[in-house]
Amino acid sequence: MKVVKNLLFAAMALFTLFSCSLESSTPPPIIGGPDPVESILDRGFFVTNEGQFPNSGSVSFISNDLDVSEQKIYLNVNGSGDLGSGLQSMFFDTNGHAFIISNGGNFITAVNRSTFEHLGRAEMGLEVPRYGVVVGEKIYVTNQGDFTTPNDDYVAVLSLQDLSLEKKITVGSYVEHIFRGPNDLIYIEGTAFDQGNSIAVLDPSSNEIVETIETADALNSIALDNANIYALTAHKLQKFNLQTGALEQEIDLEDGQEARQLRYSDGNLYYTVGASVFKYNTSFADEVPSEPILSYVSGSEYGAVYGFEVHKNKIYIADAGDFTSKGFVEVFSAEGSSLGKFDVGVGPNGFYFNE
Amino acid sequence: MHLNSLRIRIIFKRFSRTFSLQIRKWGGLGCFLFSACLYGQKALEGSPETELLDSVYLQSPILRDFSVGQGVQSLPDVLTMTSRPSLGSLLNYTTPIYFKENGLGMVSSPSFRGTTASQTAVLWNGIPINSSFNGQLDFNTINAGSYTAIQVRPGGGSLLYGSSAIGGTVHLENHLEFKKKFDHELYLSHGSYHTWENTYRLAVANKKWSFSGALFQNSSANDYTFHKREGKNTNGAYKNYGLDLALGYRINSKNRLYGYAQLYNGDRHFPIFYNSETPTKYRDFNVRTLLEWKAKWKRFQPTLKLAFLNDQYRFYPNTTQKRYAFGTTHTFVGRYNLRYVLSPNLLLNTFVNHEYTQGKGSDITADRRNVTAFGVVFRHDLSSRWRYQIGLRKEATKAYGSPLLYSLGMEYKIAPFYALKLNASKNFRRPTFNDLFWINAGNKELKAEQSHQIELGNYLHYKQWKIQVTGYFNDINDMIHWVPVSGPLFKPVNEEHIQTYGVETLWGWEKSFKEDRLHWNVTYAYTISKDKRTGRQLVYVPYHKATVVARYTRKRFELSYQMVYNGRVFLQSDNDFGATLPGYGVHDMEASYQMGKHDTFRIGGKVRNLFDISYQNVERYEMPGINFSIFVNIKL
Repeated sequence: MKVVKNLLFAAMALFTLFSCSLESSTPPPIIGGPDPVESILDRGFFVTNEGQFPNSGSVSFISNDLDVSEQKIYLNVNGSGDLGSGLQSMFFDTNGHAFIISNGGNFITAVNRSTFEHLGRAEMGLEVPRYGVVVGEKIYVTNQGDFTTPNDDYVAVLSLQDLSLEKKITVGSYVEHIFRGPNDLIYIEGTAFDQGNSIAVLDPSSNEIVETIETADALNSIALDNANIYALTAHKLQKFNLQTGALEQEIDLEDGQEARQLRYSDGNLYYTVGASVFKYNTSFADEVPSEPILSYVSGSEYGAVYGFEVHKNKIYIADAGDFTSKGFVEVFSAEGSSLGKFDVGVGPNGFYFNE
Repeated sequence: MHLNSLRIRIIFKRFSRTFSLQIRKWGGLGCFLFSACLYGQKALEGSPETELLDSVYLQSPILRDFSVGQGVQSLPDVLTMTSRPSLGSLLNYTTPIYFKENGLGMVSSPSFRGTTASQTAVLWNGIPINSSFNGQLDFNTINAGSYTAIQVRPGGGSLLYGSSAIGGTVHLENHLEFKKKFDHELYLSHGSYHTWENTYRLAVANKKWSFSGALFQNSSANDYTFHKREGKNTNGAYKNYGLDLALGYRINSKNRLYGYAQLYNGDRHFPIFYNSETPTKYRDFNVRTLLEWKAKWKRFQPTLKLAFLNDQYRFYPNTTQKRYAFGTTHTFVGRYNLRYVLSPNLLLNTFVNHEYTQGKGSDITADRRNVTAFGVVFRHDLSSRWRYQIGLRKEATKAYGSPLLYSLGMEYKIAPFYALKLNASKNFRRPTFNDLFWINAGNKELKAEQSHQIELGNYLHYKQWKIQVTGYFNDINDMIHWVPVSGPLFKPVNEEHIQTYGVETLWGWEKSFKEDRLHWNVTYAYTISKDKRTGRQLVYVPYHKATVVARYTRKRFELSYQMVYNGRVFLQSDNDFGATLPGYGVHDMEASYQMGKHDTFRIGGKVRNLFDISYQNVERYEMPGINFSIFVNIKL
């Protein structure tokens, strides 16, 4: 009998299973008005470092004169807390705020762009957020959602006031970079990881996709100027009219080159091939360049030019190295001479100019 | 399909390389017998001749006889320990192996002598059970209480145990005795965070038949509160249950037949750091079966093993949805081993091993491979002081380049209490299914990782003292490493070269007084593991690791203490001192009392993390503070 009792007891115990429950999120915080503080942060640029999963990414600061650089400025200013894993990108509003996107944490941290003081966090309605832009009183953020399908990719519309979710707009393609056009329309790169061939145009007044521009296959980046939108694939550069969406010109790039990271700056287009930067005129009148304007030596085949920007005649390159150690940033003149080199965090992926 | 895997790969790339690698990698009874002997070390055992006369195998004869020049550490029954019931927890507190666990109860991967997680081989009754997907075993998917013997042999073991036996080997054994008995045991434990750790074991035997079985269930809400920041461990719950069975039939005095089976079903949610993060979970379902025939015809002792293994996993990238990534492998292993006693001091062992594996999954192309291995090992006891062994192994396979392996061992007993052991070997780790067949990335040109190693051990056994000090050097090249090749695509290549070296020390002491017994077992390891190209220490390999297990018994009362110390680890490959995890020591205590006429009941309580240390084993994953459990152990 004793045995039977024990066994019954055992059987009961062995099949009693427990589960845990999730806590509900706290309500979204409110962002205050601008804070008129003079700060060194106003005279420089930020570098976003994606970090090593599951650890938080970080933001580095480098002054425009390249005299001052500081790591982990969010932590240094706020003393604790982090910016989430997979720190993807950053964007600004016109009211003194900066927003930092964590695509692993599914949240956006709002800080004062002059002091980097933490102001609040958008945590609702984001699923693998990538890039954001502010138009009027709204924030538009691309979200990739489920990786296995482009069908659920969407743009989250958040209130700039309290960072609450107002709407999700399904785009119908993959989504990645997002830009505000000179016409106040929003342009969304309809591709992710070279899977896609479209640019979606979103009208913020109606919050609807009003047009889809078809590009060459395997689109990898887009850039805008006042009249045109440019689309780059590994071997082709295209120019579309911003008003009509019509393809105006296209040109094949040099054979054997895998072009990426199209940027527009002061009347020129720039793109990278490996650890080299090429420059091309927006008129498409010249021969496509066969020689880079600069090449640098990267110790890493795959971390080379992980971040890239051209700003006011300077070229900014971030090298992510092996992604498990510090990356570096190097700034070049338009002629390709190095102006300075800085250690930054793990996986530097973008530059954001605070001016 | 392609797109799917590509996107997953990329997002992980975006998250981080390390994580992507991790994802890719994700892939008995009679314990009564040895509760009395805390992992004792056998310094120079008897000659093979005496072993042959022994009719009861309490140890795998191959491991026992062909470890010349190496040490074998026998571990205590986990149910007598304060550790959690998983193999990872047991080894963490008793061996020099460093474990990396991303949150309590989550994936537990070893670094043995500074090697990578897939360079430790785990053998279940002699059959390798490392995953075919990633080459490693998750040590939290093994219930340590299911075996009659768990043994650890540091150093190379590919000669006998095949792929992954570079850092060392872990042996899980169900030994059966043909002696009349009916023993069963129930162990129930309940503790903080709704944690249940329950095991039921049964051993029934007569002169013809012998059966042993273990049924276990472990579960926890695992929602401990954090020290350093607000909140608690969210989405960290786990549960697992399973069954281990062993059945033996003594056909006659010369032939025996055995059958073994193991079932494991586990479900783990992976912790998240913010409520906004997407909660994920992982499920494992493993079935392992083995049929074994052992015979003893004078000088010939053939053994035939036929094993069928099925490993399945499912990774749910969002627990709120039904969608999952999966992988499943079916493995058949046939092994014929012939032991031939040439003379009382000469022993020859040959084997042929065939393994057929077929795998499919959401991220790999369905594929299969056949590997046949041949090996021979010869042991010669020159005198009561000198012995040596020498062995060779070669594989025939089209799946990957496989090297010729060797092992040389030598032992010399300088004094009755002091022996020197020397071993040199070449070992390998083969490319995994993920390495070979990952969609759009697998590299069929890969060859096996190769390791050349040498160790010298000092073994002292004097009165109540047992001391071992072993120095080793291990050069591992052609290490498989995933590198992005163009844009978002990764590919595995034979690229990395590491060297590991260090010192392992084991120290055991026990003393019995009239009514009191005291045991101590201490390990300490100093480990250098560096990338040959950069000269830097590998991430998550501490320079220092120490463990202590102490037990005091007085009549029916028992008090035990255990501790594990892990030194500081680097988090970045540049060894940036600004990115390290500090060292920590975790201390546990347990007290119990035996009751009943025949000491049938033992009840007790455990306190884990006694000093309420705040620590992380993997960055960001806070581990629990002080926590409690009570247990009852009934033996009938």
